[in-house]
Amino acid sequence: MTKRILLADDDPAILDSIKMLLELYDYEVSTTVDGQTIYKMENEYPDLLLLDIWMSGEDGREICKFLKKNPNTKSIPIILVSASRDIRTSAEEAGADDFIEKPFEMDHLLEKIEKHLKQKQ
Amino acid sequence: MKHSISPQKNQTQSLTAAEYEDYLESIIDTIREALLILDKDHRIISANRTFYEQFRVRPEKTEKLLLYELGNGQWDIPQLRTLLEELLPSHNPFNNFRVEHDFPHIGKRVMLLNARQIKRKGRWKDRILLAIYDITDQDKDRKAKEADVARERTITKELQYSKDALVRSELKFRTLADNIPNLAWMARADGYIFWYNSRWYEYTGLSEKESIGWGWKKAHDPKVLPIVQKKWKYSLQTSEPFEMVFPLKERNGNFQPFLTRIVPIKDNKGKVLQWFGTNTDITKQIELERQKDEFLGIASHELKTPVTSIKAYGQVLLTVFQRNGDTKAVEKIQKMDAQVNKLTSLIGDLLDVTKIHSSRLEFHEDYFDFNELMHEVVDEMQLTTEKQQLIKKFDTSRTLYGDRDRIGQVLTNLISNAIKYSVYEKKIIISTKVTVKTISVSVQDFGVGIPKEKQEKVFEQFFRVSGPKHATVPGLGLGLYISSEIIKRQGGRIWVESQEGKGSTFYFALPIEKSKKIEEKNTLAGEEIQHE
Repeated sequence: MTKRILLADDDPAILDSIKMLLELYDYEVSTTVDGQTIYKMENEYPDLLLLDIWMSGEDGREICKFLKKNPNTKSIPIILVSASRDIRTSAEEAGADDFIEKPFEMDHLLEKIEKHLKQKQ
Repeated sequence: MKHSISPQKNQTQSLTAAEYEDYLESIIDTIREALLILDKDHRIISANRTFYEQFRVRPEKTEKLLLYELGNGQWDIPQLRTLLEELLPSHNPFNNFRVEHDFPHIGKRVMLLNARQIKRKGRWKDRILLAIYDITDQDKDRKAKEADVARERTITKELQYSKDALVRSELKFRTLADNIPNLAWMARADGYIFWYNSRWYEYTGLSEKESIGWGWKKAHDPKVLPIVQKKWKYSLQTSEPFEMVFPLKERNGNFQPFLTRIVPIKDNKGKVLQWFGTNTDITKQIELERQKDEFLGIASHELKTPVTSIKAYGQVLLTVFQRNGDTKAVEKIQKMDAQVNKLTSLIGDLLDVTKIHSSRLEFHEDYFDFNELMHEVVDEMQLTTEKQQLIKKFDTSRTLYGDRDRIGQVLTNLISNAIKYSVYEKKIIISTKVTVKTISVSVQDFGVGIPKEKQEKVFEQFFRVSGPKHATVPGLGLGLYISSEIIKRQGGRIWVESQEGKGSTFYFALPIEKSKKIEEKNTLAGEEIQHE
C-alpha cells in the first residue's frame, strides 16, 4: 500500500521540492504551510509526518507533543526538521521519533522514513 | 716688598749706593718668588735665582733680552705689554695678571704676575720690578673644586627636572582625563587612588571623600569585587598592566559593564612611581555584539531555507537522470550538489560562531570508533579534489567518547584548509598517533605555509592569512576559530607547525576517555595498548 507522508513547513519551495523527491520514490505526499491544520486533522491521518520546528509562529515541538498525547495520533512517526542541529535534544524531549537537520542528504532522509515506516508496522 | 729693611746701623748716615745694592741683591736672591727687573724698554736687567730655578733657564738666555723675547714668547701678551707700558708714566702697579701657558722645560703652568715701579730714596726710578708667582697647583685644586660644585648642581637640576617631568605629565594626564568621556584616575604605587577625573564623580555619584584612597570599592558589584581585587593585586606585585571587564554602579544604582585598563608609570630603573587607569563604558559594544550575533543567527537560518530546496531540487534531477541513464547529466548535478554543500558549510560556520559567543554551542557525546570517523571524513574530502591525493597514515584505532559530528567538523576544516592552501601541490598527509592517554591527528600540506609572526593568530576569529600568494583563497576566516573552540571544549589541544614556502602541519589531540568499559573493549579487540 502506498504510504502517505504529510510535510509541514512554512516555505513553499521546500514543500514543492521534497514532495517531488518523495513522489519519485512512490510516496503519496500532502503538504501544509500551516501548523493549525495539523491540530485539526481528523480521520485522514498520514503514515508519517515530517514536521518543521519553526513554522511562522507555531513551534513544531508543541505540535509534536500534542499529537503524541492524542491516542488517535500517537502512533504516527514524527520526524522533526530543523536548520539547527543543536535542537536534537529538545526534539527528543518533545517525543519525536527522529530528527533531521536541513539541508539534508536525500539518502539520509529516505533511510529515516523507511526505517520508521517499517517500525510502525 | 712692603717692609723696608734697614740695616742695624746706628748711624744717621745712609748706606752707600753699593752697599744698598748688595743688600737688595741678597734679599732678592733668597725670596721664593721669581723676580725680574726691567728697564723702561722692558728689557731684562736682572733676574733672581728663583727665576732661573723656576724657569730652568740661564742668565745668557735672559739678561739683556726683551721680556717678550724670553722662552717661547710666553710673556708676549698684548694686555701685559699695555699694562707695563702704562706703568712708568702713571706709576700704577698691577697685580694678579694671570698667564696660563705651556712653558718650555716646565710644561703647562699658571702664573700670576705683579709689577711695580721701583722707588729709591723716595724717587721713582726707570725700573720695573716684575714678580712671577706659580699658582698651578692651587689652580688645579680650585678647578677640581669648581668641577665638583658644577656636578652637584647638575645632579640637583636633573632630580628637579624629573620631578618636574612627573608633575608635568601628571598635569597633562589630569587635563586630558577631565576632557574624555571615560572615567579616569591616578594611583600611587601601592594602589591608593589620589585623584579621580570629573567623569568618575558624575557617573558614580560618590563624593571625593568617599572615593579617595580605596573608596572605589563602593562602586563595584560585591560578587565580582573579589576577582577584581585578586587581579589588581597581581598587577601591583608584578608591575604589569591590568585589563578587565567588570560592572560599575551608576549613581542611580544600576550596574553598567566597563572595560578597565591600568598602566604603570615607571622610573628609569623600572620601579613603579604611579598607576594611570581608565574605565570605558562598553554597554553599547556589548549590545552591538549581541545584535550582530542575533542577526547572524537569523541570517544563517534564513539562508538555509532556500538552500534546502535547491538541494532537494538537485536531488530530484539526480534521481530522474539516474533513472534515464543520463550519466553525463548526473555528473554535472553531482558537482552542483558539492557546491551546495560548500554553501551549507559556510552558513553553518556563521551560525556556529554566534553560538560560541553566547556559549550555546552544544555537544552530543557518545562512544565512537575513531578510525571509522577518520576514514569517512578523508574519503568524503577526497571527492572534493581531483588534483590532490589525501594520504592516510593511521595508527591503531581507539574508541573515543565525544561529539563525533563536531570532531568530524574539525577534521573536515583542517583538510579543507590544506586543500585550499596547497593548490599547486599533489599530496596531503593525514596521520593519527595513539598514546595511552591521547589520540592525536595531524594534517600536513606542502603549500604556502604561514609566516612565523602570524602562526599564533591563525586560531583567532576572522583571521585569514593574506599576502600575494594567498590572495585568492576563499573562506570566511571562521573555520579554525570554530575548530579551536570545539577541540578546547572537548578537552583537547590544537596547534600548528609551519614554515613559509614549505607548508603547514595542523595538529589536534584529544583525551581518550578512561573508563573500564573502553579498556575492556580495546583489550577484547586484541589491540596493543601502547605505552608512552
